[in-house]
Amino acid sequence: MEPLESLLSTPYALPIEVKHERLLAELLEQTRRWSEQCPPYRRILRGIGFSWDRVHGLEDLPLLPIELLRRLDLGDVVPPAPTGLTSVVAALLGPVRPPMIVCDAASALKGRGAGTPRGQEIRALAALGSDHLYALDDSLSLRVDDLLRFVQLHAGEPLAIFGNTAMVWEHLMEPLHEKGVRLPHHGGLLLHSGCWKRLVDRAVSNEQYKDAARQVLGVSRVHNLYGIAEQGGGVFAECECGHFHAPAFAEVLTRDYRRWSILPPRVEGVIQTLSVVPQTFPGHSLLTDHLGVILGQDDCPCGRLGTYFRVLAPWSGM
Amino acid sequence: MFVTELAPVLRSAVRLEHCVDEGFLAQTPLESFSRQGIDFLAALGQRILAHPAVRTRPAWQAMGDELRRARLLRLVALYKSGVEAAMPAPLGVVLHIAPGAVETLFVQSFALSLLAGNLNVVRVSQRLVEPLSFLIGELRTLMQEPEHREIAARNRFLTWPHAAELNRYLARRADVRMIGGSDETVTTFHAMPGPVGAKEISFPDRTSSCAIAARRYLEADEAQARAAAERFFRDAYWFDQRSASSPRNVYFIGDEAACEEASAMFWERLEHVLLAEGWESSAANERAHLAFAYQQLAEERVDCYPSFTAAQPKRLRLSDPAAKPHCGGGMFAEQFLPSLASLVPLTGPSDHTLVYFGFPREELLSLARVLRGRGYSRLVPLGEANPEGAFWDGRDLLRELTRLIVVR
Repeated sequence: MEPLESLLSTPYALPIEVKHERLLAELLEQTRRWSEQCPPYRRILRGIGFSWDRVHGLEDLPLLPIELLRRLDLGDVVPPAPTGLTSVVAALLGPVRPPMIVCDAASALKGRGAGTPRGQEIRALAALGSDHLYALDDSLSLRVDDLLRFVQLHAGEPLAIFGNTAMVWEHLMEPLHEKGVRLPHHGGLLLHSGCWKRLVDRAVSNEQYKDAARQVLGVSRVHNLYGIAEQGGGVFAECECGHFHAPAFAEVLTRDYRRWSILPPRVEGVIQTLSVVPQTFPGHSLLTDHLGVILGQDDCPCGRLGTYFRVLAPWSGM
Repeated sequence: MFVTELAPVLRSAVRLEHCVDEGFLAQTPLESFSRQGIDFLAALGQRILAHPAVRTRPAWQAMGDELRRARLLRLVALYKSGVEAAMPAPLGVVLHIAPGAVETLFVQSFALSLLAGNLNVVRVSQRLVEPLSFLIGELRTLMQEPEHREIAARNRFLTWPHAAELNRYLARRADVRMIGGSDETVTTFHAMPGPVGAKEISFPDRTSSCAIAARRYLEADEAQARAAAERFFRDAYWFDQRSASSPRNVYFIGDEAACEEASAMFWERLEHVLLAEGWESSAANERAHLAFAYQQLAEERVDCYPSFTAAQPKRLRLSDPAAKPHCGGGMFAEQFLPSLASLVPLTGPSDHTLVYFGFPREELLSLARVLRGRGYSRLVPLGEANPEGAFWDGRDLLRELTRLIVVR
């Protein structure tokens, strides 16, 4: 799809009005398509009195509370191909493909794992690396010697480390720390995504996480990735200022729970995520169960265009 | 696998045995109705009532009220007056599995069990949302005070993801299991072996309703109609509409025109009461309502859903009159029925309390006779849904959580 490809190739180069115009056209089309193909979705639209004539902006599009994806029969509810995530990660990695350490087992990609969303995600991201190491063995224990050998092999090159937020802490950082091992400083980056719940339960803050990563993993940058699995995963990447950014192919809105009206920047609200990445079910406009604040549009000090925001703790539901 | 101890100390452990070990389980319980137990519960009640948000949260108010020292002492007095010369004693270790949907009702069963002198292990929902996190915080603070150390030693609040081994570990060692939640949860625990003589007290899902005689409601004067709305507010909104006796269905009984008019007036008056009482919804509650309503639309149980605001009582007229919404927090299903007798085919064993307005008691007696126990174990006037002093379900839990020692 040509329009999508251009949105994917440069995720942070579209000024907000241009982006919104293009997204609106695409999302309206998806809404129309699903109202034709998915009877339960059509019934919701009709029941809430949704009117095609009154859609002037993204906020006028219908939304689905995310839990309905599990509760209703809306189609094949599987995450889409990770093209969005790949585009965002590629933008973070820059032009040079780095050696990559994946905080998972190689078996995640093989056999039954190959077809799972996690397997697809790892394969897509691994393709962005020049060399790979799967840091864990099949029982998810850290392969310390192999890790150190890999780092040594690529001495002098910045490394990219990628994994699930909790797994990186529990299966990579903690074991290294316990063994008194620190990776030599290579100036690369850590990308992590996934629910913070386990870390919140253990009272680990975002700052502590980043500090630990810099000390133990030798990275200079740590980027948290936020996003809904059903919309393609962590496509909202944390920038150097600690703000999450909406890429060109997705958007974030915040709503006031009292009337579900749209909130302006700097007011806490319930996060709604929109995505044009094609799905096999009407998942293009979802009301999450996270609270967040939109900070601004197009003017983040990091230089990236688009909406930028924060997600509020506890980041595991309300 | 993580077990998180929430109180008395916030910490996580890899194994449940680290939080609830054999040493904990072998402790001598305190005596029933001990001074330490009453002091602790009264202190907890005070802390709850002192919270600034309690005014706008009837469920918290109710919790705090139930834990007032005078209430506790009255409960003890009532108990003693019923058992003559026998000496009450605790049963031992009580495992509480708190229902996920009703984050705070576990406080009641925990309080009664503690009052009875039992050791308690309480598993609460993994979703630590308000008011649960507030309550847990208060429990933890109190339990860390030196004067409550005997209580802290004998009580644990934990949470863990659903895991059969953990449940079995505790079920095997608990003298009493208090299981609240879905029928599935109750069945799961029922199947687990326990010590010989172990007791099970279960609280499966139950629903309650309200019946309003439409013509009588329309004939009521302003003061009576307002009083009715206030009583309904107490019945429905305390415990966040999540206790077994909170009405979820509202039946207007009478001819169609009267029902329509009575319905419109009823909900409008209730909205005024919500405002006057300072009742507040929450983001989580509103999301739950939205998801619920959309689901009813998607599954063809209702044709349209007008958008309500968080300040309004929400009502759906479901196409299936027997449907009972499981939502809470101010979401109702309303029906128009020609007579009380029309309730009979809509009533079953999981129906708990029926509150009514505008009917003489005799009519409810007739209904009860026809039902013959297959639904509604309580048919009481509007305002009396939540029984005073008896806590959950109308059962005498304090009796069930103690044993009587006879010494001659």
